[in-house]
Amino acid sequence: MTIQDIINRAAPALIGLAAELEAAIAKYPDLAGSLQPKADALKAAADPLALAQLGSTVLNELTQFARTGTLDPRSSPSNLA
Amino acid sequence: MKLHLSWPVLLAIAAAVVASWAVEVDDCDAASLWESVSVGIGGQGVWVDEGGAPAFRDAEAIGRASLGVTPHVNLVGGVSYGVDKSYLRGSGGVRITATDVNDPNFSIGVGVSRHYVSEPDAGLDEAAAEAAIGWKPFTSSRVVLTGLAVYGIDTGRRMFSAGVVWPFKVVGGGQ
Repeated sequence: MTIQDIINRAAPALIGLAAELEAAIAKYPDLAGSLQPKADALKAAADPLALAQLGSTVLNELTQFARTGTLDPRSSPSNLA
Repeated sequence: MKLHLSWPVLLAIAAAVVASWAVEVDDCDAASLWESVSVGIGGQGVWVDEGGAPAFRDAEAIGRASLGVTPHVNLVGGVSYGVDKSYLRGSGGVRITATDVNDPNFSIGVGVSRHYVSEPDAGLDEAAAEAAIGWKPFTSSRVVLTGLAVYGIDTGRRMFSAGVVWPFKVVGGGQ
């Protein structure tokens, strides 16, 4: 399974998560100001071009990691989701 | 509450969590490796596909861990316990993350994980594609609001969760 396979398989989950977020916004309109930008960001991330760019970035990072053996970690809130 | 948990399931969950930490330590800087570990505990609600719309399954107590390998690649694993229905779920896999350019406290992750569960109806027991969000809504707090969508690769079954996680610092490591 390639990096792009992983990203492509996860794309429907990304769209599904955006749909659930929008369902929550419809149910609780008071949260729209906070949650709508997040739902929009999710839908933007599910764009095939954005996913291809992410795949390319990750491939470069893994190539660098394989070559140097050095970690370059970042703390990301979605790690713990 | 009575916990129905077979040894193979327990071993599989333990293996999944251990696998999420498995990196060739000899090939990289051990200090950096430890600093890239994130751990968190919290609670969440879970909705599982019943053939139609996902139905609420249970509230869960959760523990999560991740290991950042590169800025966008993380090995992730976790276990959760159904508070009411007394089941145990676990997962381990790889997640590719990206942070929102407009909000550094909001990030999205996509990936693939192997999911395990002690009770068949409580979740997925297969490899699954997943999408996750994490959002730190308060700059003064470390609390992370989380959301996860999981799609079974073999069955197409869906599972959603939403919750809150408190990340904590491991001794000498990251957060």
